[in-house]
Amino acid sequence: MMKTIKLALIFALPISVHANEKFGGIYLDSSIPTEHVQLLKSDFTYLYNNKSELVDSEFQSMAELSKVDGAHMYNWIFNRAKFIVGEDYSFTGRNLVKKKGHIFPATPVPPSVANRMQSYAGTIIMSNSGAELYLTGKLEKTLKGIRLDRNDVFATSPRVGILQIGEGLFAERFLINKDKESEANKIKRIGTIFHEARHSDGHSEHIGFIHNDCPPGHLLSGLPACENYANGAYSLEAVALKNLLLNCSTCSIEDSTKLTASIADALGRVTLRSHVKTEAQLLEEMKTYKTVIDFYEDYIAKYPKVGAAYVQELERVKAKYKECDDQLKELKTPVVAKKMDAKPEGTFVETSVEESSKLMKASLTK
Amino acid sequence: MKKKITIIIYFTVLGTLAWFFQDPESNQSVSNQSEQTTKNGEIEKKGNTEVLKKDVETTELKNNDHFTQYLNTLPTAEDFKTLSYEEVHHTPEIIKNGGAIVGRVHNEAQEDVSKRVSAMDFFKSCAEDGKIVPAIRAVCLKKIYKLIPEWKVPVLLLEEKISREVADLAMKIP
Repeated sequence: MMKTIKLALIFALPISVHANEKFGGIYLDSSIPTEHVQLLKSDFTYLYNNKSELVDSEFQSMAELSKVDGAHMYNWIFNRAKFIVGEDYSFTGRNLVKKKGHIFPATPVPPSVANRMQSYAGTIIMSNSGAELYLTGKLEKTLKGIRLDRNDVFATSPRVGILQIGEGLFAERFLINKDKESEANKIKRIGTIFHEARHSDGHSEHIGFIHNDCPPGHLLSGLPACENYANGAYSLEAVALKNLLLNCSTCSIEDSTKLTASIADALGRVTLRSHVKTEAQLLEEMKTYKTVIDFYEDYIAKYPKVGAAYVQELERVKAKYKECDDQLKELKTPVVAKKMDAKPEGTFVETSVEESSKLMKASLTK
Repeated sequence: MKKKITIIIYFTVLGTLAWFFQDPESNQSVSNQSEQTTKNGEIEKKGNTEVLKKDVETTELKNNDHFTQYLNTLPTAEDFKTLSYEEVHHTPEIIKNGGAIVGRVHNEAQEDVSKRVSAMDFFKSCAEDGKIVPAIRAVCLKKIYKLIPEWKVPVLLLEEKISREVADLAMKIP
């Protein structure tokens, strides 16, 4: 009986699981479903072969590329996304490896980091687990890493480049059209990879180009889905998408419009102020608060005994009024998006364009 | 008496047959004309040219209705309230769907010149609608800027209805 079960298991394995492999030098873990591995390989090949005859200058400067062509764009990704694991890969138990005694750079961490390190349930599209391992390790003063193919990969820098991809990256509802292999869908997925790869950059308080909470008045107010830098993950995703869309030869009007909507969405996450309210909105709010303040001040003065219960409410409304006043002052002050230094902290090896191209060519000629 | 009845029936049948076998186009015109008269309630009898002109207007009206339906399905700020963090970290599905609708309107009007005025009206309504999310409004506004010279359809935008955020975004997207 046991023999039969063992045999059945042996025969069943090749159907659902594929071996770990490297494509263009990027490690693709066996936790990624076979179909997704094929799509990823096809995406990287598309990127590497991209001619980019039309160049978006903002993309070139933001990604600090000496030249915008397939080899350089692929190299940019390669240096930031060296290991890709699937949604089912567990970052706990035997897969999580730790080492004491590592000396992390004495740089500050983003103030919001401690709160940000929570896991979320839901459809995973993609996330930069390497940056997260580095950051939590730095906070806990323990070098963290994961076990991949019997090797320990330690996050000595956010540039370790461990990305986790999920069903969402390939799900029809998130894609541009029904053909997963279409150019428009490749562009969409590559845009997401550029976004996550950007989280492998940065140091100190902007390490990993970590997202900021969206300010009051923003559509996503309170959610960590915005950034207040001019060259963060959303900005980079937007300009990368723009550059690839400019050179898309098979994108239909509908495809292009959907991709443009994605670009607008990403750019809309770049918020430079603590709010997105207009001057008219703020003045209107202040007018409303002022009437309430006047009423309570008058009421408390006239009826001190009964009015005492409303002192706290008066203070609350006054605070709201001040908040609006501060935002109005901020609105009247000119502001320019700051470009942060993308140099990552920690120890890592930078691969040249020639080296990554050699790895890609070897995979393509296999 | 019998002879009179036979003659009346004969002419009635002949008249009906003649009406059926006349030029189908003119038949169509008559039906259209009567439809127009009913719909507008102001035209009693008009020639073929005016009937044809009205036909185009009717088509425009139908397209307008069609595109207005699209407008109602664009994502609003309200739609975002129900989304979780995972759904908004990367471009949410509803933004992609909104882009699909705007793209479909553009595509339909690109292929059929007679739909361009209606499409421009749709883009204008979308760009000026404060309930629709800024990313989609910016896409609509950019469509107007890009398509005015190509389609040669003028649009009067109400500046006060277009926020700085939407105007800035439109300038940054392709």
